[in-house]
Amino acid sequence: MATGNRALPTVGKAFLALYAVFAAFPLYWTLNTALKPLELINTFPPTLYPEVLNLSAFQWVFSNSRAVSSIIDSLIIASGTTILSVILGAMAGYAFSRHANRIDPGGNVSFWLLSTRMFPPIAVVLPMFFIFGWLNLQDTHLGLILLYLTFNLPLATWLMRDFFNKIPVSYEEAAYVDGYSQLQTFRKVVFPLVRPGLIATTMLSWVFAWNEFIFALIITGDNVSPYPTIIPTLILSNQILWDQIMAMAVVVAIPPTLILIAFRKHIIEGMTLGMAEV
Amino acid sequence: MSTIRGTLAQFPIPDRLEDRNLAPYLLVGPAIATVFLVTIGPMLWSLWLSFNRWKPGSLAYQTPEFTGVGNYAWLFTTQRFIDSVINFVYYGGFGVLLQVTLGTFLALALYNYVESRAVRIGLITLFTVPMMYAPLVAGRMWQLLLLPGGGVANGILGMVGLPSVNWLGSRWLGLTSIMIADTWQWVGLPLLIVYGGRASLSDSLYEAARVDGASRWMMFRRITLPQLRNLIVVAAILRFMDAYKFFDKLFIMTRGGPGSATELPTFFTYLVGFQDFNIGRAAALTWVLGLGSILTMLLFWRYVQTVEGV
Repeated sequence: MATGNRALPTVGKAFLALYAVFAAFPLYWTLNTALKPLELINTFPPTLYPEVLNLSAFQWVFSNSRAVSSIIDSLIIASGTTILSVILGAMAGYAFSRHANRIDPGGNVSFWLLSTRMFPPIAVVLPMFFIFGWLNLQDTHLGLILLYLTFNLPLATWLMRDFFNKIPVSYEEAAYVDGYSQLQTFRKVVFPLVRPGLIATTMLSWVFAWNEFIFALIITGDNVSPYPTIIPTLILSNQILWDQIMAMAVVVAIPPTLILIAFRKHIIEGMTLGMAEV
Repeated sequence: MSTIRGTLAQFPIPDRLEDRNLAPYLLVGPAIATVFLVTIGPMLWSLWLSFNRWKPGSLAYQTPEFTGVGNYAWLFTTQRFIDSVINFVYYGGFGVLLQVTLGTFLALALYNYVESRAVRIGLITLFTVPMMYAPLVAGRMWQLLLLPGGGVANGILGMVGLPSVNWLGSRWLGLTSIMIADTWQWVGLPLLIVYGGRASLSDSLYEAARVDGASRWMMFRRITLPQLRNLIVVAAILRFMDAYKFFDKLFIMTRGGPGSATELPTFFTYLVGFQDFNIGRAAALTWVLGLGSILTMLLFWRYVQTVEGV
């Protein structure tokens, strides 16, 4: 028993190290592939590192008009939907937090709202495809901005409610006693305290919209094509253009990676719906 | 310093603010109205459609025509749908089990055996960063690793003298490969939940156990697991809910193939709805799926309330 106890930390560390290699390898391989010429990608044995750096795939991402416009489309859509969902979500989250007894007994209403996020997206997009057809919203930025509210607005509401809940009501009461109006109280007392939560909600909503695929696949076409919709099409006469795809993968992974590193604590809280703080 | 807060449960804020005005309703109104317009309304319309035969583009059913439960009857007598449900049971069941088990052990190993805070944060970041990437892109990355000819996975097998494997070329192996790719991406979620839960457990329990001469295994069995049980269940349900929605990786890695071998219900719905344009049938499919996710969601809510105040 005693020897087992002493060996355990070593086993645990070895397990972590092994998994760290497994977790890091696909990331390394993506970068490695993006920097290799196409003919070295599918070789045996595999080329473990690029001998000469080949930046042509990255050049392609930043100069090809389809690639550039797809990234711009994604930026417009993700930012638009984030602004809408954070504003509406913060309003609703504040009301759910501060007037729980009246409008959110037992948290059931806000939970019902969150649960609409859990419907399979295909179930939402099937009727929306026809509704957007009648409203001329197919293949537009506005269409996807509205559609992405289906998952981002419930999330933003739920997270903002959670963040507002952490600010003691007594601060606001003190401000009222001092003669602040409701609006002044919000601006001068509540807002500065909730700002980190607001930033985290914004970042997380943005990342989810940035990464979305199935809505974009079905609703967009010739005019608007967010970057995930062009990744499956980067094929040349049955040859998958791995270098270009992986260069694109590296470029589109940069914003979410920076967001996670910069806002780790709040992103983790948001990802786990407020359950974990690390 | 980490704590698990029972924030998913009610943080009791009494309604002491003296404004008996309409403000809360005006604040909540736009969000609720939006959800009705973009989710609830269309879903109700699709519920009605699921009782209709509608195939725009075909000659026979250009406009919706009421057929009662015909679409549902078709669904449950279609072998391809039943096969996709069997795939879902395999994929969802084992996938969630794998992710939650792995996530739990990683979290506990991180908490117990890594002393340096910087290393801990670094590893947590490495394990959670794939969650921030597009599932579609992650699918492409894994497809590259698993290429049947000169992929790295086969390269490694070749180096130790094993024959190449066609990772995505058959039903169960294909589903398992997708499961591994998805585990790589999402193991961070159970990991974070369990890590947060473990960090919030009081040390005094373990001190007492040590005084009583309990082994590490006993402490794990009798303290850690029972205390974290409900959180682990919550993590599992969250991941299971995502299995209902699973689409992107399947679309990019196998397209349900070879043939329809690796199809999952969402992908089958996509084919019925947007390749056959058989809208009534696709609507019935989405409601069967939706019902499943509603039931899972109710289970989730029940467990989340038990986690309150852990």
